Amino acid sequence: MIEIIDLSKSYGEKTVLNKLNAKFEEGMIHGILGPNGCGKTTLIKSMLGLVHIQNGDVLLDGVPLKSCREKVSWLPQHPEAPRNTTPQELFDFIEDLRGEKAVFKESLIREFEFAKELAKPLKALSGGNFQKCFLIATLMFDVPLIILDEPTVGLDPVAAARFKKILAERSKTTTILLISHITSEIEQLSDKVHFLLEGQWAFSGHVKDLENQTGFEDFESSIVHVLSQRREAYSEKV
Amino acid sequence: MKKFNTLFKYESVALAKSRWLWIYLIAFNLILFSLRYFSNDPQQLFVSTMNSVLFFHSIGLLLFSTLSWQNNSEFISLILTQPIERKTVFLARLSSFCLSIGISTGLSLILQMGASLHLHESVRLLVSQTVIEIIFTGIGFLLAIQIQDRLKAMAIAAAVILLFCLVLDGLNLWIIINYSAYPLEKLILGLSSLNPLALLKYQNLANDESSLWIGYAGLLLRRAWETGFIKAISSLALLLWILTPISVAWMRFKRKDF
Repeated sequence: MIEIIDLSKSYGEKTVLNKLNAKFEEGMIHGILGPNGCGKTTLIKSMLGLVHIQNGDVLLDGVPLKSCREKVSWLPQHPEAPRNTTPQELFDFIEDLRGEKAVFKESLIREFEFAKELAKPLKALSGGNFQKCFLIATLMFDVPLIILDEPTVGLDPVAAARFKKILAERSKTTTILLISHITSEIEQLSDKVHFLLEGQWAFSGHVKDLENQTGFEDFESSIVHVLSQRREAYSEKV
Repeated sequence: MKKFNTLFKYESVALAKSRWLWIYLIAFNLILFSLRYFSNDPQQLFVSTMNSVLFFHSIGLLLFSTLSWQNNSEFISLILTQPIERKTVFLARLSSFCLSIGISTGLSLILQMGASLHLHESVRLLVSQTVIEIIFTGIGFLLAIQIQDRLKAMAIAAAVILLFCLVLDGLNLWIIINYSAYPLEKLILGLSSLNPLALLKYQNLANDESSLWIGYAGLLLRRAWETGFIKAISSLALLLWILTPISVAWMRFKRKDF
């Protein structure tokens, strides 16, 4: 269980997260949605300790997340590593750094048909294979929390389908936070959705609950409805 | 320590595979070879090599270290989400960068100049080279940590180089030419304290006849050097230059939001 308690983060005078609270139950895929600049990336970076928060706590099973980073695996939106190193060197490096065997590495390499790319420098990989390399690096450890930021960008339909199958399998034992702008992907994969708007949750719950709440039959229209309602409320307030 | 070693090894392998490092090493070796080939006087060879090491190496290092950090900023974020302390990440990156460059350029210097220079001259050049590596890698890392925009960081790096290699030296020369009737030692030393390249030059040349190779400033310096005070102030200023950029870079890195 991930608990976010009164999380606040500002950059100068701009408040990005304002006393945000959340609970992400274990063994589920939690889809996190929101328009550009709503604070999704800041939320994840605050959880991981990449940005210094002004206030609040992020707990994984009651322990501050920043002090148990070996239990988390993160795929950033724009993953990067020295381009002249190979995927094999990158995987070995992360294994050594964590001091832990990557139990899912071989099966992921097989699933993504990645074996022939292992010895090539990263700069020689296509966009899709580059993304596969970092997906493997993220998913290869048996950790209780996986955070994925736009994971299917650049993947071909076959690889994307395989990724979704792997994710569904892993979610039985792992809490997964999935950040994406592709609403159909969030709808298809997530058990719960959390819609972030101006540093606060506009909605947090099951997809069906959202559709029932808004009266729309499809997920995308429900999201657009919540977004426009909030914006109207915000304009009136201003 | 194991995590430090892991990161150090990975960063060093990545640097060894970098074509920019090899281009830089070829250029550095070409300069050393030309100096050795065209110079007949051993003392002149020492001063010329020292100037090349000071100016070429500082320019190359500042640009290379700034670029190296900027190109890897996303990767550094990724490393920081692993179970490793920020201090270890900073130290491993700093030491792998300094040692990779230091060993490759140090070996070039010994292989090219070892036979043509006295042992104490070679040692002085190696020490100067190491000091430059620490100072300019620190400044490069600081610029890259502080400034997100790559072009802006490179522009400021170029301005720093211009300041150290041209502006401060030019100002010194202008003062010496226009105010030679006045006692200038302390003023020149004060201005030189702002420039680590000038301080290193003085440390290398003040003790012997070589000081005359840097003209009137050298003559002034040689006279003033005999009083221990100037030597102590100059050494202290150099020590501050070694410690300050790296310390500030580390403090900025520790507090940085990625």
